[in-house]
Amino acid sequence: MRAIGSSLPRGDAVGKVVGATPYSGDLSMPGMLHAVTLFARRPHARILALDLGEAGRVPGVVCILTAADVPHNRFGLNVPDQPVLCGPGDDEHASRVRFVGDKVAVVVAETVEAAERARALIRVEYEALPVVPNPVAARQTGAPVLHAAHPDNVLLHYRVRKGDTLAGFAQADVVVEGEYSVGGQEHAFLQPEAGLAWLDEEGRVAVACAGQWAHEEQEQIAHALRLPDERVRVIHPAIGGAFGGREDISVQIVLALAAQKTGRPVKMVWTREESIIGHHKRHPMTYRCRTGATRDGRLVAAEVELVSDCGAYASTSTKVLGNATIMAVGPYDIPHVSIDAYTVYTNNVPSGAFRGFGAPQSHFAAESQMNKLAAALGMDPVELRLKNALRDGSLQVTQAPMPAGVSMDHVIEQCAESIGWRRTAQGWQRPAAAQPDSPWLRRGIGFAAAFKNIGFSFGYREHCWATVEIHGGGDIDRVVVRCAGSDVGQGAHLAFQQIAAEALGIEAEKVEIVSADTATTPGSSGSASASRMTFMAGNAIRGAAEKALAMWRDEEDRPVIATYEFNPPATTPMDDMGRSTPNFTYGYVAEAVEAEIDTETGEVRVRRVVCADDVGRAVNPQQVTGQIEGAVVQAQGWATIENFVQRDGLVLTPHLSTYLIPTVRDIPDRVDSIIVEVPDPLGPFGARGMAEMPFIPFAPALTAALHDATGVWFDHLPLTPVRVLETLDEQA
Amino acid sequence: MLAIQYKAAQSLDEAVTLLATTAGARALAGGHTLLLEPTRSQLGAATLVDLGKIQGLNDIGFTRTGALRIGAMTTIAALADNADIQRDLPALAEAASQVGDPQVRNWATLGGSLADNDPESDLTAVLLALDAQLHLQGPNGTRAVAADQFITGPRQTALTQGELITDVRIPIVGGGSAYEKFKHPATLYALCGVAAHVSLIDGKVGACRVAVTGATEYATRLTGVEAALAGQEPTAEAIAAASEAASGLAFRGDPFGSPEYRAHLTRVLVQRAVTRAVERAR
Repeated sequence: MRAIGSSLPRGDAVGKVVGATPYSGDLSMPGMLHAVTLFARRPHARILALDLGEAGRVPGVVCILTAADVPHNRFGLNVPDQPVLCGPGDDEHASRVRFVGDKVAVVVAETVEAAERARALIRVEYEALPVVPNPVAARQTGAPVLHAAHPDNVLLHYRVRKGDTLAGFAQADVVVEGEYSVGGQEHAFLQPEAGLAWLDEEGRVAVACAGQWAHEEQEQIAHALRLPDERVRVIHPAIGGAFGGREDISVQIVLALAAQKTGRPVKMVWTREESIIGHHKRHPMTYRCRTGATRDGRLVAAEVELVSDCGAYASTSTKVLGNATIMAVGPYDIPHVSIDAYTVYTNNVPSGAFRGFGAPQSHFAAESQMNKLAAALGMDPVELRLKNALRDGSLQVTQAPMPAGVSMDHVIEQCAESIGWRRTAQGWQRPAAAQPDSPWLRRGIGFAAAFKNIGFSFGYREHCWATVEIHGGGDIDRVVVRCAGSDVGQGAHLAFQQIAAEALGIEAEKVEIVSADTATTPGSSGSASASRMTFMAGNAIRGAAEKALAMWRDEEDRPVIATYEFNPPATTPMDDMGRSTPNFTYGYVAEAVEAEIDTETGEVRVRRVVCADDVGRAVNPQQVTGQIEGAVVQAQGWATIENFVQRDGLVLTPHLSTYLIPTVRDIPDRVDSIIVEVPDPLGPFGARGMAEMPFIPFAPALTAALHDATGVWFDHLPLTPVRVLETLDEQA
Repeated sequence: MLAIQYKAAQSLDEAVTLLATTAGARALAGGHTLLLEPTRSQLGAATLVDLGKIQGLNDIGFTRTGALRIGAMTTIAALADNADIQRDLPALAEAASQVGDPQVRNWATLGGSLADNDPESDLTAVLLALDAQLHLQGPNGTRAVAADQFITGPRQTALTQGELITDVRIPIVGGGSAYEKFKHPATLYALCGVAAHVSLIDGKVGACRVAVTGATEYATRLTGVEAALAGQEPTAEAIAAASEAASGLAFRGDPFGSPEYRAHLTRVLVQRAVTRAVERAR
């Protein structure tokens, strides 16, 4: 049996299901201290004074960390603009809190109870500052400046000019205009943030904490503590989900600092509420779009202005904005395009990485435009998409050709056929949904497609490191793969195992994965994000395995050890016209949704979803299906019931009883996962990344289904029953 | 630390005595409301008097006068599954089958649910619409209270200290009943639930009782709707017009439904519940 293409079971499954696997919050050490965080819990204020006197006298308190204790009081994944701790003792920037989850102090004590008692006794004198509640307010003249380096509160503006939109719109027979808005989203991973830090046997500050990119976390901790990277060790224990929500630093830096200060192990576990206010969210975005086509359905021009709410700190907002920009007109070849994209500081919880990374927001706008255009042209939406879909060599909005291996038309056709679209002499034809008896219930079928980059973009030097050791005599007995790439719950390590086994021609059981400890996997693998882990680590492991196998055959020494660093083709940043080679490859997906709407109560029920996802080569088909189903459900949550509400910078939904995620009662009645395998020329054994793609087309496919059912367009997410009713009434 | 004592009563008399004479005593039925209280820091030092061992409290059967008698310790699942209830009181079976989830229905009891009188409880509206009588036993003996008098306010009932619900009696008077629910997305209680019972005389509405839960501060009869329907031929138009009389009430609001939305849902569900009750009455 070949290792690749087999649905091998997950080695970590039983331990996780029976509760035996230790997650970060389960870790303990002798002599361990406990830490709790004092959050600002106000959106914008200056800290005038901090009185620790009474708190410090609580029995059991060992130390209280404040801004004055942080050697270099800044961090951030792309832009170090966030104070580790806010308050007096550092500079003006750090004296202000800019969102409810800014941290003011960390209390370290012998027990959690003592730490909590002391936290309640810390006296903070705040001077309230005017709150910037959204990007519109942030861009008004006279708005409070949140970061001195950006006096207009605009962190970044991208400008794309391809062709001549004036000339393009002049050729258009039909022009569709639309305004869209989408909300934030909480990752709601199973395991809230937690970690344990200590000084290890080599005197390093060791931090065991769930993350997505051990070497980046090591670098950020070292930066804040002013230590050389190698004096910091990051270990990822079992990780209880991530979805981008663990890209940013949470407890790591303050725990490292506490361990360094006290010389003792220190543990911190955030509550669910602290997790929800403490880590970043998906970007809320607004769009204004114009799209023009000729009568025969040829797209000629598109114009988009999009604004993303960056929140209080940059996080990955600049990168998300880049993605949102190049996907703002969807997966189509359009000769004349103009895009202006802005990400704007506010006093909201920072926005950052979340499955799809800007692609779901932009595709909601772009694919809604396509559905409206199809209606305006009297053309089937699948027909219109196939006429304009990106193909090998099509020019992107950045004017670079698409990388080889584009399968957009292929996934569109497979998805459409599977839910009942018919090819007729007049072209593709949408199936009619069977209507229930109750007159207030209407059903419809909708369609959308998407593309999404695999790997880091815009000139980032993408690379991934792996070492393969082959043990044995004449035959291979055992193989050790060292690769730092994180298994955040998505099954990456099983994919590593299967790829190594395939490259070496052995059974997967003989492969052992050593991972996610900067002390034992010294080379970086990059983040478990951007649908890149299987693609990047797969290539690195394959390279190392092939090199090791050649040594195994040529040399006498045992074991053989080979290291390989995979470097994909270089990308480039956008210039002032948006010209660039943004990415080295993409994944392609199409989705059809059958939905039912109660036109009297506003309830929306998803009956069936068909997702055709080109994964290049399914390393483990069962795991691929799991990713598709999980992404569809998560997207359904974003589109319907997940309603992250912030008012004047305050989070009104800080619990899972007020911020609802789909349960088994809410999920679609049926999800058909269609695994398409058009090999990626650059992928390991043809595999593409796929973890984000099935999320992306869901929302516009759902609103297309609701339009099919009611004749009404739904342009604003989430589709809470109240919003659905209001929209029906407005367009009645 | 919580100091909770536990005592299993062997008889109703023992339970009543324990509840009347023990400071801080609380009756334990299915425990679904009570056992949440420690996490809400509402349950201090208490003695829980378990009613689960008392014989005969979970029977369902007909009285000699033809009413259905349901023991207070009957689980919600047993209500939903009972063939007599499904046939004669479909509104009650429908409501019971939509309470919470299977685990809740297997433990939670009719009596516990009524004593709790949660503003979003499914069963309270049904008992109002079905004109149920609650039989109570306390230190001063037994008494019967109509559902209308039993529910006295938000989480308030006619129960006095040491008094227990022993059973509920619902008259079987013909006609048809139905329950319609919009689930609260966070709690699975009723964000709005409407129960209706309708009898027809010569094709026109005779006796008619309609009640709402979840949308108002506590389960409430919609007497305006009842009056608007009485004597009418129950056409779609007449039912829609009558639903407009579900107004002038104090509707509740929370992040999942404003008072206006709950008022709207009440009108929609009144129409659906009455329409189905009429179909069953024909």
